[in-house]
Amino acid sequence: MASVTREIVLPAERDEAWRWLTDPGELSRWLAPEVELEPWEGGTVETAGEPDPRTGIVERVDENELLRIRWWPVEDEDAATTVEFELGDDPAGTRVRVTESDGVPATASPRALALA
Amino acid sequence: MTIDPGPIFGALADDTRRAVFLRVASGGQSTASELARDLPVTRQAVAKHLSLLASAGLVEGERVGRETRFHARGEPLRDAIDWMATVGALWDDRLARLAALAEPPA
Repeated sequence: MASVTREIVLPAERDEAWRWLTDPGELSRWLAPEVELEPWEGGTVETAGEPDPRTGIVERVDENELLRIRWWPVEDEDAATTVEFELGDDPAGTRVRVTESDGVPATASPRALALA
Repeated sequence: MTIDPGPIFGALADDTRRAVFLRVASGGQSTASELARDLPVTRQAVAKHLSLLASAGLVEGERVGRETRFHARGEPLRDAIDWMATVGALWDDRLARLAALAEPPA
């Protein structure tokens, strides 16, 4: 399984960082030029306005803790990947760790991992 | 990017299969029988590993007489590395925009 991880610390409280990750208006300022996201499990996510428009679903929502989506290039669901945002405490604010992977997410149950 | 690097890393996640791949890649042994001589598994097990490696595109078999000789292919690994570099660069850009957004106005 291939995966990419990045981490940054935002000078913000958890709930503010959470809003940047889940509010479509805020997401449209940094994730992609146009972002639609329904911040509940089973909700849809769509990005547009750049060369690689994507569509997908919201898989997990733990408010102020974790957001996981599964998305893919429009019309190519076989190339789906999972993106997980994990929020954590940091003396300078809120740590955001993002992991994009093409397999089972790190926070999946041990059973799911065993089956993968 | 529409490549799917998943099967490549999955194929190499198993210790024995990785040993098979490394032996094929280094060119020492290239048939299931040769490989089985050196590894603590049966010829049938080696053949299964080779088949899985072949379906991930990591090895390619060629029929020579009564046996199949395998050689390694580098493209899938290069594709996987390209995928990680491309996806990583995208997140670098996105998170730089997010960080700029989060900076309190001076």
